[in-house]
Amino acid sequence: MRNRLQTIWVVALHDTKGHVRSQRMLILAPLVIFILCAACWGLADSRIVPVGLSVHSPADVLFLSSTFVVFISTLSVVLLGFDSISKRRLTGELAIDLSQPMSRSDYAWSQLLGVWLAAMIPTTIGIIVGAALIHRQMGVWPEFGDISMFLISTGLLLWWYTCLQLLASSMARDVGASVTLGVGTWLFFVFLWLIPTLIVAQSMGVDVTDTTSMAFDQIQEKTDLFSPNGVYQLLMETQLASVNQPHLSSKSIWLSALIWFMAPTMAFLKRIEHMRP
Amino acid sequence: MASIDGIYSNSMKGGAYGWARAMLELRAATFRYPVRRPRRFRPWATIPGPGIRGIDLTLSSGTILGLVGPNGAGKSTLLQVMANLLPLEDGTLSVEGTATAEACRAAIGYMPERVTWNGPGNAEQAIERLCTMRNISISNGHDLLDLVGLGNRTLDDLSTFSQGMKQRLSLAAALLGKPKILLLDEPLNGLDPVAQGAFRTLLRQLANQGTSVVISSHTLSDLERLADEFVLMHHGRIVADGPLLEIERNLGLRATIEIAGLGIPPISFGDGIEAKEIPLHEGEEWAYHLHLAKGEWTTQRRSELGPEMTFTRLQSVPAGLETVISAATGLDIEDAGFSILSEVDSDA
Repeated sequence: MRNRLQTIWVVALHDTKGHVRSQRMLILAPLVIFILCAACWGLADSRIVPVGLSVHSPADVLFLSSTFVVFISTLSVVLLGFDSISKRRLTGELAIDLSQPMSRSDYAWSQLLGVWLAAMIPTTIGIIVGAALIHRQMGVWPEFGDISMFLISTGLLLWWYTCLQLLASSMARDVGASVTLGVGTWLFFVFLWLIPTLIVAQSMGVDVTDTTSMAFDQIQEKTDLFSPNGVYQLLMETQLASVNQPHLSSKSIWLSALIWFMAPTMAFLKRIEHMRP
Repeated sequence: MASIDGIYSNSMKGGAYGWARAMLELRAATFRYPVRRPRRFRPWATIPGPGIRGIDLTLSSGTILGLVGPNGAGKSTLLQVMANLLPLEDGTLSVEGTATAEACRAAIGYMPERVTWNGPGNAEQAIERLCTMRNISISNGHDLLDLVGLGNRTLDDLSTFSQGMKQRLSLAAALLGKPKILLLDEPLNGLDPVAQGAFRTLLRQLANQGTSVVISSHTLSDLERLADEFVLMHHGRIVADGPLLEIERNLGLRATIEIAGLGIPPISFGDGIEAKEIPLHEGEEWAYHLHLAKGEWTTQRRSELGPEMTFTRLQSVPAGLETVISAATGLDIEDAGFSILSEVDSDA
């Protein structure tokens, strides 16, 4: 078992290095770090916070900064992982990989870890530097628990996207289809998720013209459990002051996070098990 | 430059001592690619398409087996089934008596057709990654890079490699972990003539040390000098197997002898033998292709030509892939041209 885990880890690290050294990372990493740092810096300055947003503590700043994670860090996963499987399949390297005496499930884990670690590096740097910038702006450090929660939730979010992206990459017949599937999924969850939420609310008789009502809020939270970004936001909300806490219990949010971890991971493992190179 | 003797241990030797045991066995092996056949209420429906059917094959240690056949005959599919990359629909595959996928793959080195190794990274990184997956020392990978002539290009970006270099890298990847069985799909593509010669020598050395080799190729001329036995595939099935001359004999092909010598050429080569002049080599005064209607050219026939006759060349000429395919498939090569494709009918 130890040997297996070690092999998975070393192959994953090898792939991570490949992603980190890639040309696209040269563009993505500074962008991710800059955007996350700028978000923390700007949102921690009460003079420039947009009207309507209440920022009282470093936890509030971290919560609002998480919106930028949803935009840029998830996009970095899509751009790093879209050809992880499809390109190797096209070049014939996947056939060589799969002919090695490493089980296919172990291979799948190493692929997931490889992309996930590569995406986590700039995001983690951005979050840590961002925390330092919050301290500089507000004179208070974010609490260890808040920072940990931010990192864990972000790690989970990026894992979910890694699974979805690699699943798309393994199903695509060419690199173009792989990009389309990945970006399509990203667009759906980032920009279009409000549409299914409105449809569900409408069908349940909730007034969708008043998105600030309690009834709509509750429906939105429930539908958010079916979106990775929604679960991420709910996880982040659990760290906020009691007035801003979600209506759903922490248990159901964490259960949803676990399901989001298990389902796409299993789907990808199964996909690799049955994949023809 | 590293040698294969240094990389392979003596424990692998077997063929050199004259004994041969079954390394890989396929029994009634069937795999067919699913082909989409959408129905009104089942748009995702598939039916079994081309592939391989009912393959029985035993690969002995130290044997070089040539896999030949027209496009779509199932050669690459058969190699992928042997490499445990495609699951069997029916039948069994065992490698050294074991049927577990990981154990089978540990004993097999697979070289797919035309791997383009696009990177990013260099040859050393690509090999190191595979060494990790095989749980073997990275120094083994470096030795193999030396062996295939990439020792001084290990740090060069893969995107700068020519097709020949990429083929060498694929060969090094296939040799990792001292596999007892090598499965090579069109391995000579893109290699220069010198590298092709070195490649043939290397494979012969490996076979002498007990490694079994299966090579798929479209050209008999490449395989002829190398393979001990051949498997001819058509429509996903084995239509003939054994040594080339035996296949030709079983298919009823006329044996051809190349004969050349000095002095006055013979007036007749015997009953039922058709002679056709061929270009002379240096120092020769006559040269013929003899087509034997039946039987073989024997020592007795040779002496019948005259004891004073001096021969400079006397060798059998295989019928050639086209003729063998034509005989095995019943297709007339001159009429068929490009129309020969060996894919299995979807509903077959």
